[in-house]
Amino acid sequence: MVGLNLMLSVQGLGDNSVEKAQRLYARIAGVKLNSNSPILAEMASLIEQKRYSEAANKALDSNDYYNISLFQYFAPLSNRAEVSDVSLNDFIVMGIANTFTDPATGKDRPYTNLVDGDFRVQLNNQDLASNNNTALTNAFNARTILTPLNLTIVTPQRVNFPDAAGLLTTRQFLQEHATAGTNRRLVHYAFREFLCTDIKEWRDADLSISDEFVTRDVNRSPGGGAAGFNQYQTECRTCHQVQDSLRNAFAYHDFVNNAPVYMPGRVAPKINRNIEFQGGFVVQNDSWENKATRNGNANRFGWRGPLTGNGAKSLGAMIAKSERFASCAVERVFKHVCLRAMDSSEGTLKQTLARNFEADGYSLRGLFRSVALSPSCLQVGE
Amino acid sequence: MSSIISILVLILLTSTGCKIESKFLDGIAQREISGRGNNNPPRVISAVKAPLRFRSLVESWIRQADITNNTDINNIYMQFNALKNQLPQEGTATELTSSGFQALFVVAGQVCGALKNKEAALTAQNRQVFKNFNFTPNATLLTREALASDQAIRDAANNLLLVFVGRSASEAEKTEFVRAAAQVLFGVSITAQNNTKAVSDIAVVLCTAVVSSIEAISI
Repeated sequence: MVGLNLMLSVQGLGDNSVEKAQRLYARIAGVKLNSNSPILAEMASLIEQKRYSEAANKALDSNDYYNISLFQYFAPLSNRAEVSDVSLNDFIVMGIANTFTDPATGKDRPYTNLVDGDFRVQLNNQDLASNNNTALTNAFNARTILTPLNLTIVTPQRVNFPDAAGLLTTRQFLQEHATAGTNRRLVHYAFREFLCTDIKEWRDADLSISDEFVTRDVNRSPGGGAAGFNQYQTECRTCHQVQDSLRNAFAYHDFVNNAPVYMPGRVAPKINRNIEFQGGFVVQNDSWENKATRNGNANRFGWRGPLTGNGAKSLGAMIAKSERFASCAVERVFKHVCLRAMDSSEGTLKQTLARNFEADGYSLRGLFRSVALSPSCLQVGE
Repeated sequence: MSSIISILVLILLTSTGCKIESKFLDGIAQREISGRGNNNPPRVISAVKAPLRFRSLVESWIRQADITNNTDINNIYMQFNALKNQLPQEGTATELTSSGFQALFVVAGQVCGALKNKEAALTAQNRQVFKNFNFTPNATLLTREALASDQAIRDAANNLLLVFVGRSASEAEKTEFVRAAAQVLFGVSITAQNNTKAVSDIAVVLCTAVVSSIEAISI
């Protein structure tokens, strides 16, 4: 009988407001609700009263927002194939937990924590294992609902680990991008996931670029002869100079025996192991320098902080301070909520949302709300 | 609309293990997407490109159907996990392949089976969808009209669209559902042994047609 009454109460509202409520909830929280849902009735009522932000907050306060929508938001960022159909991992749960309101301040934690924060999560007051994902896989399979009660943020990220860089130094991110290889992929994907830019876009194709940071494992004449030399000059170094100079930030990081490893003062052996060109750069420490500052990269990234540093944390801080970091979040949230990419005519909207995101303390919840209520997204306010 | 009926029959055949020619499926999928090649285009299906996000979609179906039994939910996800490789992780409905549609039908059918079971265990007035379907085994009920009257099917069509699409059914849609229900039992005699199965089949097939329609799979 209760269900019947709720149905009537929803039906008593305008069809349009109920439909808008369903759409707003589905896009923010990632799932449609039963038409008898009390939340739907409350949201529809708020929409009828033109209290759109409060309606959006109902969705943002739901468990679905964290467990379905944010799962799908963070999951593709957590793996090399960038797909959402993965099990729960520490990258995803830290992204979710960072979006919970901070009980100490009553405010939202900044999204910038994701690239420079020193924190970890506990599930049911237990630390996650460093060498397996069992606890989270079990939680995922049991469809455990993650809430601030069972998923808590604690510090530091690891014991005796001064170089925590949020999600960039999680077990999952290192497993995906520091397994084998030479740690370049860590930079490549840090830029892909948090600056929405692939190396193919941010390579510096201006041939006046120098190559002092290109390491020994890069052949200066791939395939040999003049053609190989030309290929190195026109292609290889245009990526490697900008990427290798930043890769040093992860010099002390590795992923060994299924666990993240940090070796202060000791460069991961894999980085300098291969020698294709004896005169190439040799990584000796974790000091990095940003060379992606010329020509189109200046506007692309809008760097606003130190362009040199030591270690992953300072690299993450540089990423977080850039203008592109905020606009990348806007693009991702817009696509997630509005189910389409922003088009070229929406540059002003993107800029406005990005600057408001920064002014709002990089609140991801706030960004979801702003995007969902922006006129070109769901038309809830029309 | 006949394509919906074809899909209804297809769902039934698929669920009973009949082999379907892929060419036939391709044709169904194409008509489902475009509404072309059919003098009587489907009405449940919008012409809009429907963005898909399949894990959300399955969770949405569970919520919309208000399925709370853990065994049912686990079975739905087991079915989804078994078939998810046939489905894109995201994209638009126009990118769905025939095998994707087939997977969609099967998972939708699992959801609808759970919904039917839930509703069958409730009294008529406490049901949300199949309010006047007679799921009770009864040897005296040997006609389709006695198990699920035309009016009961028209009401169910409306309820299904309200639950899974968020709008009421048009009169044309209700009429088509009645026609489809008759077709589900085409060639099947209702007997004392299968009367419950007959009404269950009608419920599941009608539900699956709505749940897997492009309008319903938009998130």
